[in-house]
Amino acid sequence: MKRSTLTLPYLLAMLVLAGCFGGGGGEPAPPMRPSDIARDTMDAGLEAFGQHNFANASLLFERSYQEFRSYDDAAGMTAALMNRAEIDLLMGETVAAGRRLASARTLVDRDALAHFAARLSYMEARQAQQAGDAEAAGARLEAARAAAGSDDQLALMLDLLAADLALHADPATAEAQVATLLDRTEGRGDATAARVQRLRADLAIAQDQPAEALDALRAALADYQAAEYRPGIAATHETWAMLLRAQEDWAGVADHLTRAIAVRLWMSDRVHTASDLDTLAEANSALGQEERANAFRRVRDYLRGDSDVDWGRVRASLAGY
Amino acid sequence: MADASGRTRVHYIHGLSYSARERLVGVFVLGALVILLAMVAVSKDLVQAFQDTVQYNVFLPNATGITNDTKVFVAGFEAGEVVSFEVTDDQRIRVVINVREESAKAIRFDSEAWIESLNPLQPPTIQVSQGSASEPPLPAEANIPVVDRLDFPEMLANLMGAVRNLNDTLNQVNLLTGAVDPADIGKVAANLATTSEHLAALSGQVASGQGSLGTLLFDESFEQELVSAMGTLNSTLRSTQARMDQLENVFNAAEQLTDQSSSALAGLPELLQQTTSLIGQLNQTMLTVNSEMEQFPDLVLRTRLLMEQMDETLLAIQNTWPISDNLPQPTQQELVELAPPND
Repeated sequence: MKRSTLTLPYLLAMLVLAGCFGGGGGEPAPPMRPSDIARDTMDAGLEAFGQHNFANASLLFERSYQEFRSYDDAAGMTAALMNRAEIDLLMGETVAAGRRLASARTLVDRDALAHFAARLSYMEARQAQQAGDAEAAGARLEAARAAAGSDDQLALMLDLLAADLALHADPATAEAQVATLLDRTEGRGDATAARVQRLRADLAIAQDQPAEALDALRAALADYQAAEYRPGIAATHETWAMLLRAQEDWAGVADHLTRAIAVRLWMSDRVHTASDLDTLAEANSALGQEERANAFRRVRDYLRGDSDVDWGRVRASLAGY
Repeated sequence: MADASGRTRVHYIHGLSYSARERLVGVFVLGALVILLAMVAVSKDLVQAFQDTVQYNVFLPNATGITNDTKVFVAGFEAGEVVSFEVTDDQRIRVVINVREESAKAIRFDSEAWIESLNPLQPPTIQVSQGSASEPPLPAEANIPVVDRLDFPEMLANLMGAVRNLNDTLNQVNLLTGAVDPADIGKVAANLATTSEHLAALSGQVASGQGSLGTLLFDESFEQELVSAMGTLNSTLRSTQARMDQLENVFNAAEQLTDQSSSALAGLPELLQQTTSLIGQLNQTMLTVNSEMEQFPDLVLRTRLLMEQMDETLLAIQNTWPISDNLPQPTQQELVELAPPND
């Protein structure tokens, strides 16, 4: 019988090599857990939201909600619902936002998810304000203040909302709040500073100071454009158009609304686009462009209908104008 | 080797004496030499190689296809070949040719050289024309002037242009003849004949004072009435002229307006057509984009899952590395960025 040529040193060397390289590649990666899938979906939604791609973000948040729900993760479900509701608020879908925020509230209260409380109350206040319920908005605002803690950014947003609510209730009382906010956001040049400038414009419009309003709108638009914040850019053009509408500068109204609609269309914003088209049709009628006005009204009616929106069709209909 | 009787046969050479063998070999060698010399004698090229030649220079604008083997023809006969060629300082091609002495006699001061490449299947040649008998022979190493002759590709290109023109002309003639109806020509000829007959009759009547024209030309009372009528017409025309002057400004303004409208309207149909087409394309594109966007979230999710798996694998590989513990852990974010109210 022939003797093996493998001696002890050879065997030891092979064992050492196997030990060195076997650790990394020997064991396959474990299968993804449901929480990983839900988290990934949520992250994708957050990314889409950051790019203002709200249509995709909505779908991804909805899917992540389903994933979290599949293994009964209340915190994940709440986060997904609130994110989806944030999109609804930005899109002017007030009813849908209210429905989702109510679901989130149920989960927060049931499982005592305290870290969501302040933010949820802030969103509920905004939803109530959009729905025209200033009293409920004020109440939710106070609840948010109570839960805000040391979150400076949330505190600033709450002050903004408070000033906005005051402005619509009594412009004189909002003057000091707006001045304070201007001081706090001076030099920031971001979307929050732009929102404060827009608040200043709203105040000037309410106090019948069009020149001041125009100045504030210019500053707001510059900040929004620097921050490339699409919802704010569109909202500023819309406020600007309302200012010019009061002056019956219909050409100016048409110009700013056309620019606002372009941004709203990109975001697939159904409610605001329909509202903008309504005013744009009015401006075109005033300018004697009845055919264009009718075309805008047709698209407006389609957007306000019950069916799902075919955005390709909407964009194609408006492309000629 | 053995024959039928069993005796061994040997080659005849072994039966020859040594001196006989030497003689036999000598005969073969001499025979081979004779055959070689005979072949040299009958070979034309070799014969020509030993003939006296005269060298000439030919300056060519280009040397396309010219090699050291390029043949030189004088008066159509093969007379020599290219010896060498080089590029001169002034960027011309200097080609040195050797022409056999007997052919060189035909090269005179008025001889010209050119490259001929009429047959695309054969290499080009250098042609030298036969000079006039009254001119003196061109001395050796002189320059033969070069003339530009059409080569085959140029001829073909020219011919193609001519053929194309001819084709166009024929097409136009065809269209013209197709548009003419032979029956119309017959009618025109008949009408012309009738018209000439009428002209003859008319001129006869005018000459005799018949008809309106005859009366106009030959009746004096009609002339007076005509003068009176023309006077009335003149006054009417003057008042009309005054009105027309007033209207002129209006017409001018209208004309400008029409011009502007016309120029504006001229591009309108095209613009509308382009807009319609654009809207159609845009619609199609958006429909496609829309359908793809509907799939987008799913695609993003799957891609992310794949990336996650890849990340897991990479992490597993990195486990073998000592610094794996120092890799930063990803931060987790649950909610979107805070949005200001009413944006």
